[in-house]
Order: sequence, then structure tokens, then C-alpha cells
Amino acid sequence: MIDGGLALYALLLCFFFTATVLFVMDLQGNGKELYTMARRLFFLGFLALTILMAARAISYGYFPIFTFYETLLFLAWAVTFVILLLERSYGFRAVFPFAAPALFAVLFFALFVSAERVSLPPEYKSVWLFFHIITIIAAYSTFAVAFVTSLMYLLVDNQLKRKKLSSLVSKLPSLDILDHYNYKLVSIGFFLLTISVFLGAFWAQNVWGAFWRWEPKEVWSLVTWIVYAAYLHTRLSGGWQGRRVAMLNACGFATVLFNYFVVRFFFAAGLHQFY
Amino acid sequence: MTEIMIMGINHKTAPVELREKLSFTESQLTRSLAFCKASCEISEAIILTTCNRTEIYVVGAGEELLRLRIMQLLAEIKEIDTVALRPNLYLHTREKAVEHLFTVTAGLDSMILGETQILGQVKDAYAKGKEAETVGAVFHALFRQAVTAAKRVQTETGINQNAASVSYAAVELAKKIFGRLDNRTVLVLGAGKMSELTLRHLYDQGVKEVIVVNRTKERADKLAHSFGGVAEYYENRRECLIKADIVISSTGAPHFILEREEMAAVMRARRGKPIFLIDIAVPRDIDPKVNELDNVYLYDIDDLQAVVAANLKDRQHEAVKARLIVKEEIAHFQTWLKTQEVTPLIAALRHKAETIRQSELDVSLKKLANLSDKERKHVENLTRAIVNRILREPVLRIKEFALEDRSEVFVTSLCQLFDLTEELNGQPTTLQEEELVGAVAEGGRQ
Repeated sequence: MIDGGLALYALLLCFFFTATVLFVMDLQGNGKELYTMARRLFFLGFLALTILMAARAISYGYFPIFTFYETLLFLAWAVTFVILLLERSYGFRAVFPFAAPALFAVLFFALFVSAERVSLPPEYKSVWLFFHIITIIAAYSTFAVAFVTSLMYLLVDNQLKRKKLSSLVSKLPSLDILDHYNYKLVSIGFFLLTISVFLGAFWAQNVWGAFWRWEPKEVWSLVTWIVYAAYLHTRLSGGWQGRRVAMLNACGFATVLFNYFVVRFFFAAGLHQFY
Repeated sequence: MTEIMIMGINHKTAPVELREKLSFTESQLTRSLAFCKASCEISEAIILTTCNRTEIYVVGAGEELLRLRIMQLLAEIKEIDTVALRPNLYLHTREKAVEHLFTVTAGLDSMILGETQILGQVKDAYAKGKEAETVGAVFHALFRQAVTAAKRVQTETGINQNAASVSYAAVELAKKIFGRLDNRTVLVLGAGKMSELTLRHLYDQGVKEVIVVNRTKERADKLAHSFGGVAEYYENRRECLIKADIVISSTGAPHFILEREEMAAVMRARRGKPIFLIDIAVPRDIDPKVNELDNVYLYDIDDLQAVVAANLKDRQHEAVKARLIVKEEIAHFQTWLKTQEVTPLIAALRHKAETIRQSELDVSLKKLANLSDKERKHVENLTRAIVNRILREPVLRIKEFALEDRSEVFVTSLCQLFDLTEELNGQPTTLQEEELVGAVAEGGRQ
């Protein structure tokens, strides 16, 4: 972590933590004040995160998306961005109380990840690679938010089936709305994921002379791609709807998590050594 | 001393037959308010009449006199034996009366706890009183504050959030599944009374299409017609199930008319599109196993009643919060009311000062005949400013003491110090006039 950044980091953790607490409290109570306050803190957290990343970019002289630590921050930033965009543009605010604690957890986890600067080999300074990483993180963040809507869907569905509606569920949006956003987000995520895989392949072709080398990371990305493709296919063909689709989406995100957090530690080698 | 009093009956104290008898028609209401306006004991009156309660609110002098007048009103206009009515009547005065109105307006005294219809009815009653000119400063402030309290209860608690009846519960569940209902199709299986009620609630949410299926086509036609829908033959019900989003089932069939296997086939044909089945028939129409299918949400009458029961329990919970809000708002009103007690005194004091100022000014201005208009005005303003400055502190103190119920000391001592007996008798006693005097005084300060 860069010097002086620690204070900012502590501050942003505070923002996300307090926002989480307020969002959860808002789910229990009535009135607008809690939500407004939580939403403000969440936005401040977003600003703090932006400043932190910008400071790193300026002091290191490269866009900070190369180390695990950097991608974690960027991922958190992108998820925050997607959520704020959903709220701003569509008034879809139900994900806040579920996403805020997850964001806090990720940012807290990032504290224990090495924030060391890496010296990149020259071939990493490529536009192809840059956009490969940007698009993959954008894809992951939309998948993450889609995953949250799926979890909410399963929660509401479960309680409707069991005929016991908690006060929490009475505050959540309808199945129809959750399903709608779920579909939209996965579609966008899938599009970004596809582009990212191609960009990565072209970069690999440029640098190593091979589009595809069956690396663990590549294989798992393929698995992710197949699961989400299945999700879209089954939706469009009308085979599965509702609950099963939500579960399929959850599976898709599980492969993303596995790829991002687990594959790196066990199969860390080759082209994706930094990720 | 003026008194706030309320006398009435409601669903807790009287059976429906009696409530019906005491309910006021439009013309009776007008006559009653005219009666109140004419009687010298009553200075303000508002009559609240709904299907669950009839309540007469009055402001006037002396509890016993007011009570007799109201009895007389009931005897004259409703032609009721008021003695026989005694055990069903309740009567509250002062703080109790205020508390009663606030509780009623907030829906905390309603048959369905927290319902909001009563708020509109209270507003109506107030408007009627205003029309008949039986609303004065006290009821103006009292009812306004009660309405404020009720609105706060609605926005700050969840008391009216969940459905309190089976048909509303069905609508709410439909909304939880489908969000907006305006592009949805409702299928009614069996054109019974209960299904009509539920359909009515759904229809009010603007559903796109209504299909009615009944063994006898005529009844299906009739119900479909009144909701702008279509009637279908019973044999075609499967196609209808494939098309519909919400199904209300209440046939008189002695066995299940929809089994799991059939529904599974319907779901395949629907390509898994979610469906909400409301089975309000007894015995049930739909095999409960149908609920095991994905994206099928089946609620029978017991399930809906359980939802309502849970909701009502939540309302009880929220009512605790609501009562705290009501208490706060009552305190606001009481503060106003107490300062109101000293209003005549303040008005008298201001009046006295104003009289003195005016007479002294006249004397001086006569002596200063060659003043320019501007200078005259200046002198006038100067005298007003002095009077206002001198009175400001005592008026504040009087109001403060009134809140602590110590205004008696002031009334007597100020009366003697300033010789206010003349002003206090036959001087303005209402808020508006006090404000008027205040406004005149304020105006002079510029």
C-alpha cells in the first residue's frame, strides 16, 4: 500500500462499513433518512476508492490493474459503479444492502493482499492486454451484481413457496423485476466476457504466437463462458425460467469466484501469473 | 372555562343495528351542525359519522351542559331514546377527548388496526364543520394537529403496509411475484361471490385481461361482462391456464379440479412462465402438490388467512410506534392550547397599550402641527416600537408560564397592575384576533 494511502483506505472502509450498517437498518425500519444517509456514505466510499486508485496510477505511472491487489480494488470500484448506475438510471436500489457488505468484505480482504508494485515485462504494456483486463473486470462486476439479484430472487421465491413472508422480503422488489435486471446484467456481462477472451487471445497471439494454450485460467474462463451461455440459451429458448435460471446464474458466478480467487493460488504460472 | 368534549358510539361499544340508527345522513348532519351553532353552550362542533362510528365533538362551557345539549340533539334529530343509549355511549373530556380524536384519526381505534380511510373521513367531517361555521380556533388547531399525527403515523410506521384482508393479501402476493399487474391476465375458475371480490381488487390494479370459466356459461358471461373480460367453456380451461398469470379458483367441485400432473404439463406449455394460483374454494380445487412445481405459487384460503394473521400481528407491533408519534403530536396541541388560555390576557394587554399609545400620540401630534409627513410617520413608528419592545418580554413570560400551568398568577396580577378588567370582558378571545392585534403591532415596527 502506498504511503498516506492507508488513512484514505481506513476512511473508505469506514464509509462502506457504516453504509452497510445503515442499509441493513433501513431494511428493518421505515422512513427515508437512513437510506439517504447510507446512500451518501456509499457514494463517498466510491469517491475515496476512486481517489485511492488515481493516486496509485499517478505515483506508479501505469493504470493499476496488474496485481491481484490492484484488480481487487478495481473490481470493487466497478461493482460500486454498476450499482450506482443502476440506482441513478433506473431507480433500482434493492441491491445496496446486499452488495455493500460484500464490497466491504472484499476491500477488507484486500488489506491482507500484497500491495507491492510489480515491474512489468515490456510485452505487458499492450493496448490489447489493457482492454482485456478492463473488459474482464467489467464482466465480473456485472456478473457479481447479477449474482446478488439472483440470490434475492431465490430468497423471495423460497419465502413465497413456503408461504412465510418476512418483513425483509416485503421490502424486496418483485420476482419479475429481479428477473428482469438479472437477465439484463448477465447479457451485458456475457458480451464483455466474450470480448475479453478474444482480446486476450489476440494479445497472446501477438506475444507468444498462440491464441489458446489451455492454461487453467483459460480453461476456467471457458467454463464460465459456457455456463453463462447456457443461462442465456435456456432463457431465450424458454426451457428454464425463474428459480432454475437464478440457480444457474449463481453457478456461473461460482465459477467466476473460483477462477478469480482459487485458480490463482493453485495454478499460478504462465501468462496469467499476475492475476 | 371552555371544555373540549366528545361523545359517541363505535364498533366496540355498539352493535351494527344501533350504529346504523345513529349514523347521520347528509341533511341530518347539516341540521345537527345548525343546532350546535344555535345553542349558546356550544361554541364549536364537528360530527364524525362513518359506518363504524358516530362521534360528536364539541367545544363549550361546562361538561354537564354540553352533555345535555348533545343528548337533546340526538333526541331531536335522530329521534332516539337517549336513556336506552346510555350504556353504549362513551364520553371523554379535555385531554382524554383530545387523545381520543388523535387515536381515531391515526386509525388506532379502527376495527382494522391502522386503516387509513378514517383519515379522509375525519377531514370530511372537519370540512363539513367549517362549511356550517361551527369550527373555531380550537378545532382548527385540534383537527389539523390530529391529521398531521395520522400522516406521520402512515409515513413513519409500517402500520398500513401489509394487507389486512384475504383479497388484499392475494393482490399483494401477486404484486410480489409480477411487480406491476397492468400487463397480466387473470383467469377466474368458478364465478362465485368470493372470487368476484378478489377479482375486483386485482381489476382495480389494472390487469390487462380477465377470463372467466364456469360450468354454466351464463354466469361466466355475466361476471366476464362486468369486468370487460371474456367467458370461456369449462372444457377449454387448459388453454386458459396456459395463457393466464393469475388464477382465482373457487368452484363448487367436491374434488381437485387441477392435479399436479396436469399443472406440470401446463407449465411446460407455458415454458416455465411463473403463475400465481389462488385457491379460495372449500373444499379445495387445486392439489396442494401443485405448489412443488417450479415457478408455481399456490395459495389456498388457509395460506392467505395465515398471511393476513401475520400482517395483523405486524400491525400490532407498529401500533406501539404509532402511539408514540400520536403522543408527541398531542403534546404539540396541548402546548398550543395552554398558550391559548392566556391569549385573552395578552390581547387585553396589547389593547390597553395600543389605546394609551394612540391617545398620547394624538395629544402630541396636535402640539407638533408643523411636522412633515415623513417626520409624523417617524414619530408614529417610534411610539409603536417602544410599546412593542416593552411588551415583548412580558408576553413571552406569560406564554412560558402558561405552559407550566402557572398563568393564574399572571392573570390576576396583570389585571390589577394594568387595570385590565375592562379589556378582558368583551375583548377578543380567539387566536385570529390575537394574531390580528399582533400583526398590527408588528406592522408598526418597520
